[in-house]
Amino acid sequence: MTREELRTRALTALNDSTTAPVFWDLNELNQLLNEAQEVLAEEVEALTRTVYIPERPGVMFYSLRGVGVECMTPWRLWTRNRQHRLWPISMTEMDGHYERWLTVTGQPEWWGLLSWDTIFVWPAPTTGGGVFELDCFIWPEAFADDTSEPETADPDHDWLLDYVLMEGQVKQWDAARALDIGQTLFQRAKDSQARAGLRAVQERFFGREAEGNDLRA
Amino acid sequence: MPGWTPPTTARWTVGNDITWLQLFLQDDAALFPRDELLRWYTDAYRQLLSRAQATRQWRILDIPPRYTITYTYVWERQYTFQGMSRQIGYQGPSGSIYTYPWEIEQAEGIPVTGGAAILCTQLWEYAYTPSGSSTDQTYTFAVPRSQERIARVYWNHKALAPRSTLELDGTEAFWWRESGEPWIWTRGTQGQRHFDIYQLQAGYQQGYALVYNEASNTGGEPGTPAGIIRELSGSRTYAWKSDDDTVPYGLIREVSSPDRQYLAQPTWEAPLGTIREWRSSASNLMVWEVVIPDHPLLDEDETPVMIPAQLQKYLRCYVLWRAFGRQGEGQRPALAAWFEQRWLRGVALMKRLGWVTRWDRGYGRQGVAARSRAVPRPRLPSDFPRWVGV
Repeated sequence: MTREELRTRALTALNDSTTAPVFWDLNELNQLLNEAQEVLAEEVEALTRTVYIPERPGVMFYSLRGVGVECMTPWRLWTRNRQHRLWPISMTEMDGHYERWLTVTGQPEWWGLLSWDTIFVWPAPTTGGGVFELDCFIWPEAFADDTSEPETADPDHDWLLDYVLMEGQVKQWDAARALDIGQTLFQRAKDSQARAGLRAVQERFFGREAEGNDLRA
Repeated sequence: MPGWTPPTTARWTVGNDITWLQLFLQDDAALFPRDELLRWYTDAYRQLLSRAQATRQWRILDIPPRYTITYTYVWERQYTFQGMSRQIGYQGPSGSIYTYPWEIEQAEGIPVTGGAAILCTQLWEYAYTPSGSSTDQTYTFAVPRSQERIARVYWNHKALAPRSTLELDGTEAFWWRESGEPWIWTRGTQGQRHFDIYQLQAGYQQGYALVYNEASNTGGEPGTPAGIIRELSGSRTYAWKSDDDTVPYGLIREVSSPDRQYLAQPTWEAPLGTIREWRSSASNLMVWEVVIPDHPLLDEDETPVMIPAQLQKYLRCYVLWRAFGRQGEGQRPALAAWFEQRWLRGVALMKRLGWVTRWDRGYGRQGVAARSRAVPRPRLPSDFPRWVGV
């Protein structure tokens, strides 16, 4: 559905005029639809972007602000030069690994978070010239215009609609009705999460590891 | 809301959020004054950062510790604006403040024992104390009000082990006077926003010094450094370069070196864009800290930049929770409970933003080692004679 369709359906469901709404402003509904996309992205964590960060010599910390995407949280770091995925690690593990890890340079093997908006790689690259591929879960871009479609999968479009309906009840100060819609809504988000995750590889066989030696006497 | 067009920018200002809240509450400051909403909004901002602990930064502290202000009596503390301050002197039972502990003994009429001969007003004076002299003062560092918690302390890039004062007191010595390479940090006895290290490095260490430009050029009297940086000098080579290969002018936009990283740390408040201070982590203390806003109240022109823009909606949820929960006219418990739950989702989300290792690791159960079966115990009939070991 386009933004205009979502908005029209929301006004219909909220019992307001679709051509000259009384209780709603069109900009307000647009903002609510943007918010719905954000909340769904937060619940599902399925929208991703890849951004390329130059590997600079001696630079261990890289800011995620201004990388060009609305990065929610990074989840994968890959070095193109060596075709190698860096292993995520916490600062506690780094301190346990080597006493003066902050001074080490070499080829990056691990990465972690200094803050929600700053990552570090370890060791700091000795020579620059490479590029890190950083995959992030992101918040989607706001709708550009009425012909824009949500970035989420088609089955999730009515989730966005129901979110607007839920907020519509809240605007009417009807918490009970909002709770009714909200409870099922956030449970449905798990369905979206499964669609983006495990269900995508449902064809794969998952089984338990063999426990010890199967050839018991 | 009808009659109000929401901003199209990625970030709303605090004022935009307050306006939206007033419209949602359908109140024109009759029940909920604007400054009350602003106070709740600031509370939400501070709480989100404090509870999520996901906004962190480095802070480098020069050695010996430096304070914005030291004071003698506790009542003076209110004039330090919660800055990096410390009380000096020794408080006796009468409430008087003494320069040395032996003065307390004398004032109380008991035999005077020996003590340290030095009292430092600022601990950087440690570097200038006569050789062999000592002070009874603890080697305490102060941190600003914007610090919520210390996550880690490093000295010269080495992580210090956190230990309690109890454990250090177990050495049964003036552990706070012992010199050596620091390897422990502790809360110490100076209260909140202070910490001590053990052992201490008393040598004066300052990576970069600001110099008044006019004095260096004309040889005149040094004054307060002000304005933008005009020159960098030291034992390393600092080369200036402009973006378009013309004569460099204006503000520094980037500092780079293949040998070390010059990491820009935000101050989170205006004026923005200018460099306030230069510090080096070499042979210095570096603290990895969780930060909160420095100022007690946000201004309506500001934006809450310490959190992602998309989390501002949860700050609005907090305000609505407090507004609808407030006793009196306008109280609606059901709506308050609703917004409280939305607010808590925001806190949980902010916490997740600081947890990256959950994604890229395969978590699995550890295998359980097979246990050997125990030899079964003999079971005797109930009428069997009682057996007593010999």
